[in-house]
Amino acid sequence: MKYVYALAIFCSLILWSSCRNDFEAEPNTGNLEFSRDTVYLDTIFTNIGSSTYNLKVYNNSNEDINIPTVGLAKGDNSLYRLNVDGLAGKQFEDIRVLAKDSIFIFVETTADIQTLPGSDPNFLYTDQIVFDSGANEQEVELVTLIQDAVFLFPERFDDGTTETLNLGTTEEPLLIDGYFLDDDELTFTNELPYVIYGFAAVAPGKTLNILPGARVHFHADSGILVANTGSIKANGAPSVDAELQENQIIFQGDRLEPSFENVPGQWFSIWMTQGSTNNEFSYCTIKNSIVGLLMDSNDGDETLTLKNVELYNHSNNGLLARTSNVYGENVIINNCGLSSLQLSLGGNYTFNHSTFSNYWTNGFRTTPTVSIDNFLQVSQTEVLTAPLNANFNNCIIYGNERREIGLLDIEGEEFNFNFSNSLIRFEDPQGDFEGLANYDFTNTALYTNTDFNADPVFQILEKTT
Amino acid sequence: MGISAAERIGNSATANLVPIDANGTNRNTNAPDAGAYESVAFPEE
Repeated sequence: MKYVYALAIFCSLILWSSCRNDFEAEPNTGNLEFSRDTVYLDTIFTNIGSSTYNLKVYNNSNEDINIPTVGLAKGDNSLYRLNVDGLAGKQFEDIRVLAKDSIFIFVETTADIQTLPGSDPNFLYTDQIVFDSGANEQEVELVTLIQDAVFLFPERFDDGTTETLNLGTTEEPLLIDGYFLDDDELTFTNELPYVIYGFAAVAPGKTLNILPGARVHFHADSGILVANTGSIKANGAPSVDAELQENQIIFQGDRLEPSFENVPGQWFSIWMTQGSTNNEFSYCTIKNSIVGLLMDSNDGDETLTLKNVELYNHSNNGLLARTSNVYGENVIINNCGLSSLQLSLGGNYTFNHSTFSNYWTNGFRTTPTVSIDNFLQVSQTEVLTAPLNANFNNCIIYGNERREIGLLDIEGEEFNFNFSNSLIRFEDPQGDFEGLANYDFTNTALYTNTDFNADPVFQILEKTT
Repeated sequence: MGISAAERIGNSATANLVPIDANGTNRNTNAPDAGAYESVAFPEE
């Protein structure tokens, strides 16, 4: 019998010790802690979803707690969306936070500025995440600036396809998402920012005029395309406010979060195709694309004029010109994944008082800051050539690699260049380039009053765009 | 910071073609600096 008692006591002990209090929680006492008291969702364009932002909610007590309600102050009418500990919605009940633990809340928003009061193109939209109620209530603020914009995008047809441009031939089409701008879309002003999806194309014979102060944003893989005999004229003006840059024309990606401020490769390019002519850029900043400006060929006239143009952070090139006719002054091209300036397959180029400085640190860069050649190998047996004339006067060509100019020519084709009164980085400690005529730095016909490998002492200044 | 090697190496004739730098500063066209900007002396940090 005593064994029966012992077994009963043993079983009781086991059952008692196995009791779990995991499913019991203390009521919330209003002592939650948060990773931040305000979640700024940065600036978003109207009708475009924001990035996802997170908030961490801490229970630093020794007891599991139950939060009876968590939700948005504006309830179901709020333009914010939440995901609380894995559950999507706007209002939640009985959210448990374990002792000395935390939960994540994710926040997103999408807003149509037309549905919001007022006529201001910018609207500061706010709400709160409210935890519990009464004496235990705590809030975290949500803040978003919603910006109205002009959206340009390819038409979507009933069959689900979208408008395309053919870059190939009728027999061998090469289609890209794109559309010709209508006549009433050929002037970009500074009234609202422009957001471009796909390729906004300037039709043959037409000119896209971009006025001082305009802001042009591009979605991923998007750009501007200027067709044969078309032109783009983006002429800004000097700005009084260096931070506001009120008259500068700025081309950049459509991600407005500060973390995307200097991310290369966010959009494709401003592509001036073969036959486009008299293209002009002045007081412009072009940043964070794959190729900032792509100038294809020339019709004998000056195809591209650049004055006071800044090209920053391009994953390939700042300016890629093929057989073009380009004049540039006060041009600044900085960090690029390949050459900041690539002059390919000949052409005519003059750059006065320009700075090409490539301190790319996002990976290995194997090409110099400035690359120049007069040929293009299109297949194993076919090489295209074109005469080259390039002049750099009062320029700086520098970077974080030892050799920052590359000069490749093919026999039998003109290859004329001159660097005068310029500063160039080209170190050749092993003498790999000795005896190569293009790199004879004592030849004053090629290198006139030009200095080498002396530090230009660049100073990085932050500029808000 | 040292003195920039780009200082005063420019050619005056070219500077007269582009008399204002990318910052809106008048170039010293007698002894211009190379590059888009005339050099600026920053205070020692």
